[in-house]
Amino acid sequence: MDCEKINMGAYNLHFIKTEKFKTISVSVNFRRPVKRQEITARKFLFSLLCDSTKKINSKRLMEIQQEELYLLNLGYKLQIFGNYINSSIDVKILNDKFSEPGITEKSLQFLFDIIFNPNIENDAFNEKNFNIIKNRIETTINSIKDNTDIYSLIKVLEEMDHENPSSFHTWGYIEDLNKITKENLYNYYLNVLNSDIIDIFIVGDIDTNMIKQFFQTNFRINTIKKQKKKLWINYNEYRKRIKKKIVEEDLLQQSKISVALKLINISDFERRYVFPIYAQILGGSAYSRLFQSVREKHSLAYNISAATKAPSSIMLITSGIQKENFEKTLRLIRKELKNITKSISDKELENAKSDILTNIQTITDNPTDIINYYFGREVLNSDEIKDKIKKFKKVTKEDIIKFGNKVKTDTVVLLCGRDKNEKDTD
Amino acid sequence: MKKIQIKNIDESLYYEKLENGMEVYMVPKTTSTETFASFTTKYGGIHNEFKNSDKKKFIKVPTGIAHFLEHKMFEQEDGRDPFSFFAESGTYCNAFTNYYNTSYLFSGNTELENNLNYLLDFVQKPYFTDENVEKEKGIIEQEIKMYDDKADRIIYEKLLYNIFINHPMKYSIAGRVEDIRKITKEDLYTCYNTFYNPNNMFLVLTGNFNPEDIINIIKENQNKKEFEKKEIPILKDYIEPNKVAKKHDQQKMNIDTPYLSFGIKIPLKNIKNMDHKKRNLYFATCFYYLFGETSEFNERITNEKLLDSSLDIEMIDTKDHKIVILVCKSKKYDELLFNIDKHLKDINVDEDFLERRKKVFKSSLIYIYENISDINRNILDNIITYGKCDCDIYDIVDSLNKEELDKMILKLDLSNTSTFIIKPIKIKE
Repeated sequence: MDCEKINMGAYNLHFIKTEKFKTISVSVNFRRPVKRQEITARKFLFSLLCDSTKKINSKRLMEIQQEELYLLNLGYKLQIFGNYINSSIDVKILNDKFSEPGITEKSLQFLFDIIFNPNIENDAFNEKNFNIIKNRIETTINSIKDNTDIYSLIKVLEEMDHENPSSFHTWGYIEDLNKITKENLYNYYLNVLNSDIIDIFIVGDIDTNMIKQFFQTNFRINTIKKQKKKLWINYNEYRKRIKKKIVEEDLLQQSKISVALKLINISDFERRYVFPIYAQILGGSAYSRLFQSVREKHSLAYNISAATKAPSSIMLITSGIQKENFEKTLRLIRKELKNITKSISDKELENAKSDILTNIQTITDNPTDIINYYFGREVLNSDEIKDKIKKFKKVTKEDIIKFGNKVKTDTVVLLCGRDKNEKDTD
Repeated sequence: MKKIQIKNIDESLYYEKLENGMEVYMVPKTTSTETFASFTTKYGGIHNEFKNSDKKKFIKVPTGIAHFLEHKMFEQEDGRDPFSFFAESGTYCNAFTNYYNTSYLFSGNTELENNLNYLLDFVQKPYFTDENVEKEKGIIEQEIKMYDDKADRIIYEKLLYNIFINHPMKYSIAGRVEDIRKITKEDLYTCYNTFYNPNNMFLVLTGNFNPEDIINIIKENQNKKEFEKKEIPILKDYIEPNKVAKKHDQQKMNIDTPYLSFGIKIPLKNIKNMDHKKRNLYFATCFYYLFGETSEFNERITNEKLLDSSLDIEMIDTKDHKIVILVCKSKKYDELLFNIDKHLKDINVDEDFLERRKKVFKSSLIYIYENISDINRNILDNIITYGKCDCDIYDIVDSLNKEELDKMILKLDLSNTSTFIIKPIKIKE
């Protein structure tokens, strides 16, 4: 599966032409260096753009239009990686063969209206739609605590270093939400169009020339931008004494332990190839060391996992436990972190590689994975599939052990219920 | 083996029933690099009272046992667990338990023959000991506690508890902690021997394979094994009244914005003659018309700030009732409930809406047939819900018409409702 990259001056078009799918997927990506105080406005903006346009001025009418376009799927995504934030507007439609002739063109027009023809009045977003989205975002931000998995991870990263972009999250911040007006959000919109780096990915059985022409005529951006800021976050020092923090909330049945670990002075090869294998062996599956120890051997948890945040040089371990088992669980986690620097079996290494290689080999089965892969090629300078496979295969036990010594526990948070839980008095 | 063309989709379904009663469904998709397999027993969270056809008395087992059994199937006598077996070929493996079924699955792009044989072997070879059953209790207790902190799950479970009087859907699939503690290895063997017989099970494969090769592998595997000849187990029939167990209920949790669920228990008595699938498409049409994102009602409650999230619509089938559930977040839940209740009397689906709905039903089927795990899940759900996999869904959708829908609407009794509200511990000023 090849990708044809066309430089359109102010943006790149990436065509992945394939007859594998009954659908066409389009992903329009905007990125810039991340600033904490901009995240909420960005979330607000992309949510509002997908909510209505000048022509179709309510969410209800947008939904009807999507159904008329044979259930066009529309969504937006925000993602922080390293020092950058990327926002995408994603559209998936049925190929004309499975809908009717002309649907692709109509759907693209719908997408362009979302981006270039928002619901604006007097240099400000329409008040009614603005207020609806504001209320939704406010509810979402205030509801972060409802999900203890997410809340405990946010907490541990903020406790580690709340000023570091690796602790920023895309749920938004209430203090920033209150500063957003329909006027300043419109200015931010113009700023995004003019300053962000834009990459567009299209996957499906498409007429490349038709689409290219369509973009030339309709995708009206002409300011050229370059990626300046360094992408990765690196650490060269670490906390010698681990920071521990207990966060108490009312009426929780289960506590969450979250551990944030820094990767110190890692190489590019380690970040891309050794880290995923290491995390897989440690806590990436049901046969991982943490799962086998904390769940299977000690029955302390239903689940425990290790997640990678490679661009930020961070690993996160999280598990749901009983409060009184906190110290015991932490001891077991630390023991496994130590053990993995001593020895690894051939089988562990091979299993972890097999898992990762299957994921790479099956990228071409799914349009979203294809887009993510080519996004990685463009933005993160990732290797081609065949090189990725070669390099993953090259990783040795010694590489993993050496890498394990660069993984340093920084902060631990226990999110738990208060000792005396309130009873429901209603 | 039968080959059935799936209308308008460009795909085919292969079907065969083996001598031992097991059914096999296959949709080859050579554009995919992977194969997805699921092995399902028609035994789930609600099957807590049953008997074999030759026995007089019903056996009653603790709640949560189907799910417990699913966990324990991953324990094998040779000490090697299925996760590590599949891991060797980089194959993903998992299992899940629903109200009506338990399914074991894998997906991967290598070693298909070995993996398929292993899936059949591990699910058909239980190994329960007192020790490994005890060990699992702590793990499942943590799983249940994890769910207990999730308001978006509690809001459904508590509502179903209040909707049903006798039906076992009253209880969550994972069961109650006090019941889990009572489970013994003997209980597990009883359930296993009753429900994991090939004539109560089916396999679904979707992805990159040749159906002829696959059916031969399966036959060869099954022919090597001996199974006790068994009738399909008899499940206890529950007489479930039309009224709900409790009309209003609430609890407090550590959340910010209140959650609201509203359930309608609709008797099927007057509309049982209609094809089940068709009836469900009509139900979906009615309730999306009333409350869906394209409804004026949804727009109004959003504009009036009665709704603080999306309004989700879920539907559950039981033998005698259709349960329709609305779930959302709302600070003004009383006012919203008043509006929902009033609006229920207003089902008058217009022709345009019905036509658009038909387009949506057809399009969503094409989206499903884009992805092998979605196809697999779709077939599995169809077999569990309808007892078969329809390949003529387009024809059913085409046959939907306003006249028939209007007649059905007249027969709907929407008077039995229940609400559950989760309130924050601290109410904001």
